[in-house]
Amino acid sequence: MESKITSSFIPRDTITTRAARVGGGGSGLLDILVLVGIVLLVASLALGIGTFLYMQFLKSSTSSKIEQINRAKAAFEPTLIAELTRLDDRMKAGEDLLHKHIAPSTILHVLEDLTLETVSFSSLEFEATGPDTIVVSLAGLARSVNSIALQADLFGKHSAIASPIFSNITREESGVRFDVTATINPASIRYVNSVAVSQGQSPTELEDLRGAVPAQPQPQEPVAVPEDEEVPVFGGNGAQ
Amino acid sequence: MMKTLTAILTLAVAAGVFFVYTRPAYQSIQAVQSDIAQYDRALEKAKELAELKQTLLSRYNTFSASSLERLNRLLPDHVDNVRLVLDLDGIASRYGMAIQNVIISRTDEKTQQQATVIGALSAQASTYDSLTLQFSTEGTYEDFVRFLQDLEASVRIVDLVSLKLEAGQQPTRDEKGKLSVVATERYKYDVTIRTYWLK
Repeated sequence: MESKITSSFIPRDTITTRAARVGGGGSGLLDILVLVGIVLLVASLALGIGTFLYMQFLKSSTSSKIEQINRAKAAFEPTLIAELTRLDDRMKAGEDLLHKHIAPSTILHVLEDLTLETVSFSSLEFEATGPDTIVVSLAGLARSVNSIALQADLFGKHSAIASPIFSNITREESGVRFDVTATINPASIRYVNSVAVSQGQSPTELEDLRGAVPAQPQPQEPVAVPEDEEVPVFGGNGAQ
Repeated sequence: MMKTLTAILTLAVAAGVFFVYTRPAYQSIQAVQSDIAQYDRALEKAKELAELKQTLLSRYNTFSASSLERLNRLLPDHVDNVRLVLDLDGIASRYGMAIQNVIISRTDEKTQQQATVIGALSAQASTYDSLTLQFSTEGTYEDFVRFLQDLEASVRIVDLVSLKLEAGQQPTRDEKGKLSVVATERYKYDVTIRTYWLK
């Protein structure tokens, strides 16, 4: 008689149970993956929608700002701005030109004041090659060499005349002919300075050209007056 | 199987939405934000400029029409050399002098300025241009000095570039019938002036 009692302690359904357990764990992981996928999808969609809406807001904001800028641009009145700019250019250029503007008659007055009665000039050349380079050349006739020396001394002492050079000194019947070349101190013939002087304002670098001519020494010896009275004289009314 | 497919599909769609739309859109947003910041700055500047314009306009309105007219004559928009010659002749005629042999040239200053690179650059940067005008006239020294003073005080800026002054000469016969040349009180003047206009 066969006994119904099994001698094995190993349960018969062990393999099935383990397989079932293994099968249950895979389903859980899949569930988690599905859950994560859904969460990510929702988040991605929400982010996408948010981005889209924010983009629309920014676009409307941009168009509004462009409209404001166009309104501001129109309010500037470009023709008025062009007119004001041109006026500004004109004022700046005018100021610059007025600052450089020279009054050459000043130097003629200086020569009138400084020229001795025993000296006359027959020609004059004035060259302003630049705002700071002004050269004057004169051809003259003096009664004697001493007169030329005295004239050179007077020119040399005046602030408007720089480095006068006397040359071509030649004795003739009518007197002593000579040439003189000098550079002019540009500040002394600036129009603005001469206006300041005439209006009684304090001149910058300018001496009072007509009034403050340095004291002129008398000739050391009596000079022979040439007989020729027809020599043209411009100036010669100042220094004795 | 269904769950696997769902998981893969949701992840793929989430990644697709992010990479295909959200990320490029975010980059566009950054660019637009930068544009908006620039527009804001421009609007701020425009506001400041509007205030400045208002200030300048109120100052401009204080200028009288005659002052503006004088400023325009000081530095005209065009060279208007014919008008200048007429003005010169008008001034000279006041002192019994006549303007002769008028030569107009623009080459003098150009060649001087463009001799150096710095000169050429400064000529380009300058807002005004110039022209030289050469003429001769005759008259007494006193009249010429007065003419010169009028010229230097004229509203339109005229600068003397060169002046050559020579005594006039006249042939005469003395008592013995000998021919000689004597100087007259009238001088001959060769004058070169420079005038300017706004470019």
